[in-house]
Amino acid sequence: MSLILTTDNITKKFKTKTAVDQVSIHVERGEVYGLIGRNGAGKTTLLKMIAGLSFPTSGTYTLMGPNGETNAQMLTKVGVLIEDPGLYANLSAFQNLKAKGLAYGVNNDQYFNDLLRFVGLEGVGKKPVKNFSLGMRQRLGIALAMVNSPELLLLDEPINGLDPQGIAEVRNLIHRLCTERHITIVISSHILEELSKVANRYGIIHDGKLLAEATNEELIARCQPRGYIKTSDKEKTEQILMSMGFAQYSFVGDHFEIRERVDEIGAVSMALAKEDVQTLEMKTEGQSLEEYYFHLTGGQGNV
Amino acid sequence: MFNVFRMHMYRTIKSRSTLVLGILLLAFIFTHLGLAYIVFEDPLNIQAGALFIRSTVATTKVEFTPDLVHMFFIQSNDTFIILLTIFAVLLTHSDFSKGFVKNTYGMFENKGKLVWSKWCAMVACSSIVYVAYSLLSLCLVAPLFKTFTSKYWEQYFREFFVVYICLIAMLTMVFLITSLFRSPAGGMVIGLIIASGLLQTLEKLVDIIIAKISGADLEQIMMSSLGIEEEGAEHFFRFSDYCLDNVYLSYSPSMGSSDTIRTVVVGLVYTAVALGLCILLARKRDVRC
Repeated sequence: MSLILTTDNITKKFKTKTAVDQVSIHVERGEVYGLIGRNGAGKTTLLKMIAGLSFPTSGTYTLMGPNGETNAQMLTKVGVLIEDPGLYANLSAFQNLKAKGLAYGVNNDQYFNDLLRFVGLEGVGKKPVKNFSLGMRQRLGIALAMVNSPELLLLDEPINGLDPQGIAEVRNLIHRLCTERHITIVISSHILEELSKVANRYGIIHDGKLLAEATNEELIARCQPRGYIKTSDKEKTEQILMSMGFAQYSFVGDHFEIRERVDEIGAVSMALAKEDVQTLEMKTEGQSLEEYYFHLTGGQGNV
Repeated sequence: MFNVFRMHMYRTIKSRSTLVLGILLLAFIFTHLGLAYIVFEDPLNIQAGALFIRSTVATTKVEFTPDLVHMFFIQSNDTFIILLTIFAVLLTHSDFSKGFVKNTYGMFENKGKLVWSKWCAMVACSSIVYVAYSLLSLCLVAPLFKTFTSKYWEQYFREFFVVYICLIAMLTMVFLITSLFRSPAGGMVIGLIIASGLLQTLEKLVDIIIAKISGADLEQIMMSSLGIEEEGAEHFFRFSDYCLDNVYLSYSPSMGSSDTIRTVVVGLVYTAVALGLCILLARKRDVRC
């Protein structure tokens, strides 16, 4: 896959505070990139710089079109939804879409109706958006962000304040955007559990710094449960492990690290006892995504 | 850029505030018709009419000519200035307040284009209001008023043009202030201050101070501050001659060509400077979301 967005040591300073500190992220075309961090970590500031709403203090970002388009050309192909959607309260959903569509040179009523249908707002008619629920507003916000048929969609905390049904609707919408329309999505959130349901790559940001970038698989591997067993006889232990059908294990330092069927580690210990091999130490370890995040950021927060 | 202009026009036409403004303007035009009847049709109000056309002595009933209609319904109409200012503030500020800015303004690297588009939309909408209000007032006055005389059209068009330039300049200043503070309050306050004439009084005070420093006697100073200078009398620099609100409110079609040119130039310079500052601001400043 080719990259659609990269940032190179992008930094944003506000007087004495550094909101974003030399962040370099890499987003590949077609993926859902989850930007995770607690409130005030710098996610919104980073997205605003990428959206062209805020000027970086230093560093650069590059948006790459499939045909070598430059940043200036690509900015018209970026859909933005920063926090809450910007809506004209007295206008209907259709009129809001049309107003924004005109800004991008799109004036096709059929297209606007299709977008409303896509986000599940086809039946709202002329109802002013001030009478919409939060979930409806958020879905309309996503439709607004899509009005210019974007290649890259920047969604900042799109599930904030939504009820469980609203969250599910937005999540479903994000899935469909990715699978049906092949739009690359950068989505930020401070709710790791929700983000893990939609993203296939993550950037973990804390205090303005990017701590890690990893794919879903890499993260799962890092969080995978492990069994540790320290015995009096290395050779016999290895023979027993092999005889019990274990394949994913290794000898690290003075102990075996088992990376599969961790719940069977007790049976391994019993088999070792039968062969007169003494189990000196035995434990299982594993961490959830959340624990991994806390481990990286060095403490519990609002994630 | 034209697309963004179209977007602003669309949202303005569809917005409820535009409808409210239209209704208010219609209401005020009829209120003003009543006022015009009192001033220009009632023989007992010769002095009121004279005051309106800024003449100190009046012995005959004032004729209501097209340029006077324009002056009465637009230039000297505080309500018109206030309503147009509110309209400009709402148009400028609504995309800040509604958050539309953050979802749209990233589209251009050069944010100046966005300011330019919005300013063009503001000018287009204000021009429509201005032309419609002028035509409507003229069309209502012409058949209803016995004192209406269809002459001095040249003065009418000059008044129409000069007042238009100054109005656009004032609205551009409101545009700048609203953009600068990202708040509607500043622009509205400026509109109210201009309409109340408070700023004009302060500018006249500055004129008097400057003349005093120049060593003029009190009578000369007072005459100078009123814009009356005897032949051969020493000319004083008048600060108020270069203040937009003053040139707008003091303009009269009976003024000489040099004063008319000065009024137009002041209007154009204020417009250019305010618009330039707005563009500079947008290019240097982050969009607040």
